[in-house]
Amino acid sequence: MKSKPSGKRGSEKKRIFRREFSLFIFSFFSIWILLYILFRMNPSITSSLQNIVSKEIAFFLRLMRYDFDLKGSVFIFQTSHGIEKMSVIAECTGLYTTMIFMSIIGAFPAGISGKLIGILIGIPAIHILNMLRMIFISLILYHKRSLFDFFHGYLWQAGFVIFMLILVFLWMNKFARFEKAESAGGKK
Amino acid sequence: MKGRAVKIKGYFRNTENAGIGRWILVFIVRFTAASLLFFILYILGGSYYAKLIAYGSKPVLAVFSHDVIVEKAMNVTEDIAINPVVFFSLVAAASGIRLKRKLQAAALGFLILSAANILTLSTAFLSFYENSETLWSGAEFLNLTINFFLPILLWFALLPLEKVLPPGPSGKP
Repeated sequence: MKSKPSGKRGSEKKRIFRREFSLFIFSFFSIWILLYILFRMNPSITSSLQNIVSKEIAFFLRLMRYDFDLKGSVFIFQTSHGIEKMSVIAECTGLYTTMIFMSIIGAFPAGISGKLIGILIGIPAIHILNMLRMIFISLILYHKRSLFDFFHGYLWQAGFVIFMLILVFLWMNKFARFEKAESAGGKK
Repeated sequence: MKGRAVKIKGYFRNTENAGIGRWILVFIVRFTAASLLFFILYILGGSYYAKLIAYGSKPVLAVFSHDVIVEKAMNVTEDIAINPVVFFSLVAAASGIRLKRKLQAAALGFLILSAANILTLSTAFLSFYENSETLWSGAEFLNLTINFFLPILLWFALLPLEKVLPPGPSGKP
C-alpha cells in the first residue's frame, strides 16, 4: 500500500502549492484583463490586424488558385453551391488567444528571460496555427459548407486548448521553477 | 547542416526530452480520441445542454426584470456551450488517475462550466436589453476566458497535479 505524503512536509508542500496557485490565478487575470482593456481601448489595432490576417489568407488562397473577392476583411467566394461570405473578425485574428497565452506565461513562476522566450516562440506559433485554421475553414466553406460550423467552432477551441497546453508544457519543462517550491517544502 | 542533424538527434536521444516528447504524443492521441467521442455525444445531446443553459439564465435575468428569448439564446448558447466537451476530453486524456476521481472532477468541472456559461449568456442578454457596450465587452471577456482558459484551469485544479503534468527534468512532475 502506498503511503500518502503526510506530516509537516506534505502539508507545507500543499500550502506552498496553494499559495503559488492563487498567485498564478491572480496574476493571470490581472494581465488578461489589462491586455483586454488595452486592446478594447485601441480598436484601430484590432482592425489593422483583421486586414493583415485577411491579406495573408488571401495570399495563400491565391497561391492555391481559389476564386474570391476581398473587400476589407470580408471574403466573397464564388462556390459551386453559390456565393459564400466570410468575415475576418477580431476573434479570427488569434489576438485574444495570444493574449490568453501571454497571460499564462506572464503569470507562471519563471524568470524574465524564460517568459520572453516563451512569448517570442508562442506568438508566431499561435499566428501560424491560426493562419492554418483560417485557410482550412475557407476551403471548408468553399467545398463543404455543412462542415463549416464544426471546424470553425469546435475544432478551433479544442485545437487551440491542446496546442496551448503543449506549448506551455514544453516551455514549463525548460523554464518553470517547480524545483523552487519543492526545495522550499523540503527545507522547512 | 550535418551538425544541425546531430544536434536534433542528440535532443531526442536525451532521455529527458524523449520522455516529454512521448508523453505529449500519447496525450494528444488520448485527447483526440476522447474529443471525437465527446463531440459525437454533443451532437446528439448538445441542444438539450444549450436549452439547460438558456433556462438556467432565466432566474439571473429575472433579477434585472428581463426574460430570456429562448430561440435567440439557443443561437448564442450553441457557440458558447461547447467548452464542457473540451474539458471532458482533457479529463479523459489524463492517465494514471482512478475512474472515480476522474468522474468526480468531471462532475464538479461540468457544474462550474455550466454556471459560467449561464453567467455569460445572462451578461450577453443584459447587454442587449440595456444596450450597453461595456456589458457586451464583459460577455465577450467571459466567453473567451471560459472557452480558452477555464477548461485548462479546472483540469489543473480538479485532478492531481502530479498526474496531469508531463515528466519534469528529474523524471518527476
